[in-house]
Amino acid sequence: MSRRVENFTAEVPVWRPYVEPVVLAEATAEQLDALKVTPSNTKVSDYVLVLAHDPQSLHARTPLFNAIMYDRGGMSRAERELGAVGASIVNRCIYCAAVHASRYNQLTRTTEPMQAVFDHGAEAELAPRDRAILGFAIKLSACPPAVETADVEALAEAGLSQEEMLDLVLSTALFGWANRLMHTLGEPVEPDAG
Amino acid sequence: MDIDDPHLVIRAAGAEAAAGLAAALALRAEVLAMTAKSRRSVLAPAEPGGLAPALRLGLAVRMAAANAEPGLEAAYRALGEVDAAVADAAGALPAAARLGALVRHVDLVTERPRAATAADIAALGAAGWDTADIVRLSQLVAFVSYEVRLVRGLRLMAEHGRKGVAA
Repeated sequence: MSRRVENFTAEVPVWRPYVEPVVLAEATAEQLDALKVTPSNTKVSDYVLVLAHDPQSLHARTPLFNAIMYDRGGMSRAERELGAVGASIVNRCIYCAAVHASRYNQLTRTTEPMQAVFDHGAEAELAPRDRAILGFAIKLSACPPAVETADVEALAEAGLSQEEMLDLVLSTALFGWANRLMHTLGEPVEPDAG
Repeated sequence: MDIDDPHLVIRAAGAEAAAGLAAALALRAEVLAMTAKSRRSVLAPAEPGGLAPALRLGLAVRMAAANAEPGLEAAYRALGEVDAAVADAAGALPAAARLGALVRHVDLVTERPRAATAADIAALGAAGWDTADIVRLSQLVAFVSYEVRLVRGLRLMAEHGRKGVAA
């Protein structure tokens, strides 16, 4: 058994499921459609194969996820990743945090801001706009959510448009969803001993 | 309320008349439409498995209440028959062991997902829930956790817009 990853990192671990993934060779037509694969395609992640146990929700979710994270206009891709990481820290989804921290680092060609976020959470020393975005994402991710109108005011003061605010709400909320799948249905483990 | 209505979240947030939000909502109209498709997939799917529609709505109501989002709670209640034993018993678990294990897991993942471990999934299996139902349940809890935050965000943006106008 490879070792479980216990701390936030920008190096993407392997995700090991707690339940049996769907076996691709035994998948139903509806599952294959939700997986968007042909029967000969074997490169499907265990995570997606676990979600294929409920093909209707997987089928609906994949395009929604892509639209929230990648559709044009509104907030920048990097800032959407920052919202995703804020949620993942609150929910302690080490796998999601790693994937989206590494995307943030690629998009911004930096590593220091994300390391500061991992080390200090909402108190990380960031540019004012990033700090407002991260703070909002962390508060929105609490249960019940801890954001108030003053937090929206802080986003406006940091220069976010209405479109950008909505994208921040969406990307943060989306990771309230993703974290509750990734972190509760499996765990992050070190890649090498696989 | 119509389960397939892309504007359900806007109504639940009381944000219909928020003029400043219109352009942002238009930009993300497709996201709202896809959100409605996901809502149907977890609250009223073609293949509900071991999770009947009234149980699903009951759990959704319970989660909206735990997140202090009464507009969304009311919207879920208006979608159909709601299992009152889980919807109206905040903090209390049903006596039956199998359903009790399910509701315990919903409360945990809704309120403290970071505390969830492999033992919590094993407990669902031990209570008699199969893997497909565990995944169905996980998608339900995860989707509602998303929708409740989307509604909260829309509600605050609408309130902020109104304050701005008043000032």
